[in-house]
Amino acid sequence: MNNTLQLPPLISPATPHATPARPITEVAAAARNAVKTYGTGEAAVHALDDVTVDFERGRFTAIMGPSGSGKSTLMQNVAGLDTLTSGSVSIGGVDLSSLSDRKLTRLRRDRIGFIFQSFNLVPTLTAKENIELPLDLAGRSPDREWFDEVIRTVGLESRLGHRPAELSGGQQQRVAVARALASRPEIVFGDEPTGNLDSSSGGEVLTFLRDAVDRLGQTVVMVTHDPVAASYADRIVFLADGRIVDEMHQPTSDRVLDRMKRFGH
Amino acid sequence: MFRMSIRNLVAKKLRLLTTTLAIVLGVAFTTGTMILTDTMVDSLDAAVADFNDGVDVFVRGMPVGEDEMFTLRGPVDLDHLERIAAVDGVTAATPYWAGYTQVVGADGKALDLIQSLGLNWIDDPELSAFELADGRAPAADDEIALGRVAAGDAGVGLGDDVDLITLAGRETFTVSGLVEVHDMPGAENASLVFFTTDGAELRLGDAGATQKILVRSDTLSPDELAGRLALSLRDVDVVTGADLVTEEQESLGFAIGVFEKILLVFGGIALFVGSFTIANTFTITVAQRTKELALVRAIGASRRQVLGSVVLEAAMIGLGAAAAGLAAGFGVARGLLGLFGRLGIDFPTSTLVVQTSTVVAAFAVGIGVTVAAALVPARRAAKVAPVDAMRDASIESTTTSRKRLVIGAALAALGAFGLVRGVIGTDPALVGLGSVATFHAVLALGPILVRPITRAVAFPLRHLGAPGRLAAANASRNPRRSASTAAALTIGVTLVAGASMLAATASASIKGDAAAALTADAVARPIGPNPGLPTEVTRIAESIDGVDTLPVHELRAQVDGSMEFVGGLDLADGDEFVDVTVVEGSITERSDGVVVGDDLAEERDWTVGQPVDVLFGDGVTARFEITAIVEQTNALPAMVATYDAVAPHGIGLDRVVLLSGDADAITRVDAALAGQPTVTVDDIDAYADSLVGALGTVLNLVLGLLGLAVVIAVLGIATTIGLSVHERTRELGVLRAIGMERRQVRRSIRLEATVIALFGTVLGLAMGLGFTAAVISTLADDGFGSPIVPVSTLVAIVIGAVVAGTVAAALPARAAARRPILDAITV
Repeated sequence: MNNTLQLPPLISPATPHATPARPITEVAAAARNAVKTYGTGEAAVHALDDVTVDFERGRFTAIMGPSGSGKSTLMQNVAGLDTLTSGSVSIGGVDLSSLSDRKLTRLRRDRIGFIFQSFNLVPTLTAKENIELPLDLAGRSPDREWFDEVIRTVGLESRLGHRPAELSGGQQQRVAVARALASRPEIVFGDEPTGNLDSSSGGEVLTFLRDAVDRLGQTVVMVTHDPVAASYADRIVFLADGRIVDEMHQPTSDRVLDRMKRFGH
Repeated sequence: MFRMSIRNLVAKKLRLLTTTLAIVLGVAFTTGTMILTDTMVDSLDAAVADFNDGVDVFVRGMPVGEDEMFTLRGPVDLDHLERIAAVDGVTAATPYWAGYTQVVGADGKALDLIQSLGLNWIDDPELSAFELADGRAPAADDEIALGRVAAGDAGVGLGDDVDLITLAGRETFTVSGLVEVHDMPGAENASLVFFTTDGAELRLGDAGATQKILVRSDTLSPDELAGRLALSLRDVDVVTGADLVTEEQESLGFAIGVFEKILLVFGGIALFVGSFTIANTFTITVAQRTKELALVRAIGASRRQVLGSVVLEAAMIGLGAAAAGLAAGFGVARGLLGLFGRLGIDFPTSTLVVQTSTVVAAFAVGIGVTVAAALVPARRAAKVAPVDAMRDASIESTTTSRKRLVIGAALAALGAFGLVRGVIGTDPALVGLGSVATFHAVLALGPILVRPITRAVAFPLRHLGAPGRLAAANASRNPRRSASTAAALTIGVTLVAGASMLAATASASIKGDAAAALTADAVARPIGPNPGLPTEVTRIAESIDGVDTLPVHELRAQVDGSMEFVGGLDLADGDEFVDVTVVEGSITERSDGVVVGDDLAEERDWTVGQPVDVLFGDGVTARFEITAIVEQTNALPAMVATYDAVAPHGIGLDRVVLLSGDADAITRVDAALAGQPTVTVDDIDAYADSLVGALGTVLNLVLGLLGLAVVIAVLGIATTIGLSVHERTRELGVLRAIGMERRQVRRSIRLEATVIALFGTVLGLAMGLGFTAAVISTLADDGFGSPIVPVSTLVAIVIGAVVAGTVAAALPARAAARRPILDAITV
């Protein structure tokens, strides 16, 4: 085991038998004994080393950890963008490892929303077309009421006809948030969603994510290394060297900063 | 910098392959053409020299008419033979005839060989080009020697009887000998018949005359012999064997040169189209390498060095492509020679002729075109500023520059002016210039046209969901790139559409004119390669009850210094056969009267009553008087005199025989002519079709040659799509992440390529049809009717464009869809 940090976890990581039996509907996504190894033999790197974690429905979870801790790998695997070396992940009770590429793609389209660090909007489409894209790919027409609610939440009413190049970074990320929410997904994953934004735009985006959880009942999982961003979450999961090393509920940015310092950051 | 050029080449192998292929194909076709024609010239030169070997001097008729490729000569009086024999130093002299002789096969039909020739057997082995392989020379009037190919095809051997059709009609001969023919191009597909001298005079020429007299001397040099003969002979042309060989080689060389030039035009088109692909590829890759170029600049490379490195990269691609193209050119030449062989024209050569000029041309063209196409992108690369290394800059301009707009608008104005003035003033040259200007205007303004036209052609895609919408948006995302990618296809489609329309219109005009002008009920015409009908066809048809006939003779003759088609048919009795509209004068039975088409009359400034001198191929000049000027059509020659005034000067075969009578009577004619192996009886529609049959062959040939340019254009689309998709790797990764299925990715990319292909096709169709229609409208006087839109061809072109787009995008689409999402996103 490649364990350079000798810190004992404050709370022992959840394991199948240690997790109290909860109704399955309360877990939006979960990883069980997730292992992700790059390379083989001497050169093998364990990006995820036997991670087991649940992401509860209707909550805002942040994943934190130093660079190389495996936090992005965890998110990417839970979101079905990559496949584990061993172990399993599930979304809404569906085991992703059993799915074909097409079924997995449809699951991402219908039940998962994504927000990327660098916005990643399609430059040839307007804001509205970008937001509707996942529905469009599914050949579904948007639920008008929900769509309006999402647009209102992110405050984009007057910008729908603009192309990404005509929007500011903050506005683009708001479009991305709306795109992630548009199909009323099971779960929304954010990979450093505020990483490319100034603090006020970042704050806006986090507020929308918070609102999406509180008002719209969405589930959000966000990878971040910013303690302020993480403080918007209900719960923080800390990773180091591919393992879950800590967990924090109802965080404040000061507490997070303290905890991060112990990683030698 | 040299190392950087090399590294770039190695790093982009696939792109290199598609880019290079465009040049390889162009160079292969061009050098293949040159190798082929040089080989043909070599082979034919040897054959001509071989054929005439042993003859010191030729005595032939004086020229009576000539055009660029061919000199028409009068006959040589046989009396000259005695005079020649009397000249001191002459060892041997013989007359020479070559003419129409068709062998009737075992099935009662004429042999289906490319060439059918009757000759006289020449006993003197030095003067003769042929040798007996078996049997003996023909000795009696009803004996012949037969070429092995014809004998084999007809299934006859030594001592067997065989029927021949000559100008003297159908006769039966006995085969006395068999002749093997070597080293003569086309010999494998030629039917050769050898008569006795008397037999040849009777059947191959006019009584008392021959075509050439071959002379040799054991004591005199050819020049001395020619000098002596020239002194003692009048009204003939005396030429040494060496000079005649040179003359014939030059004339063949000229013909092959024309053939070569036509092929090279298509090679040039292919290379021009290929240059678009190269320019595109370099533009895109230079843009993608902006950061790298800026970095090189930042660490001290000069603009010149950056420019040089891109030009060097292009030169090396050109060098490689030229070498590969030259190698492939051998294959092209071999393939074409094989194709000619299939068509029955064998060139007896085992080695291909590669001249230094061919090799030089291959490299000059390959490197030249590639470097020229890469110059603009190279200059753009040199403009990259060192600071761009720090920015997320791209130097590929996606918008239309002002300069381009101004030039495009000016060309468009010029083109419109030329087209409008040309059409109004029926000036084909002006229309041509207008078309060229408009064509360049459209290429220059292409980027502006991309958005509206792709929007139109992509309209149906809006209903194909997100992949369709994305495809439409991506097709016009970078208008300059899409426009120049499509331009390559536009060029090809313009030419294809134009050629198709021209052929369709010409075909319809000829058929329409024939149908309108011919009021006869049926036409007896020669089958396939036969040059005409024996005169007995008229006699046989005339003997059937209820049938009237009008034999039509046609020949070329020199009229006031240039060659014209002159018809011989009795228009005065022609009411039930041909419908002629008299403009001026009246049609008479006068044997010295000639009826002239109004266009020719206008061109030559002729009026009714004017005398016209006609120099016929037999050396006879006859004076005619213009009795009528009629509306000119494709159905009749521009000059028509009576049958008896014209036919005696021709080769003795009628062009066609027009028939009038009810259906039963025509059926009886058909039955009566069943014994004529070279004749078929058609109704007017079938006859009209037979007139345009060759046109279809020519069109198919042209379309086949243009196919090369189209293939290169499609390769260009594939390359551009590949590079564009590569550029959008991250975006495609995101699309996959948020739920785009692999097949949706593939479909979207295929549709994008299809939209670009359709854009190019629509422009090409519009220009090809528009320009051709404009040109045709100015050619009404030359027998063209109103332009015909070849609908089925157009439908095929559009379907082809859709298929081409789909095929071009197949590989890039697969690669994009397969790419793992995470790799794509984290690029």
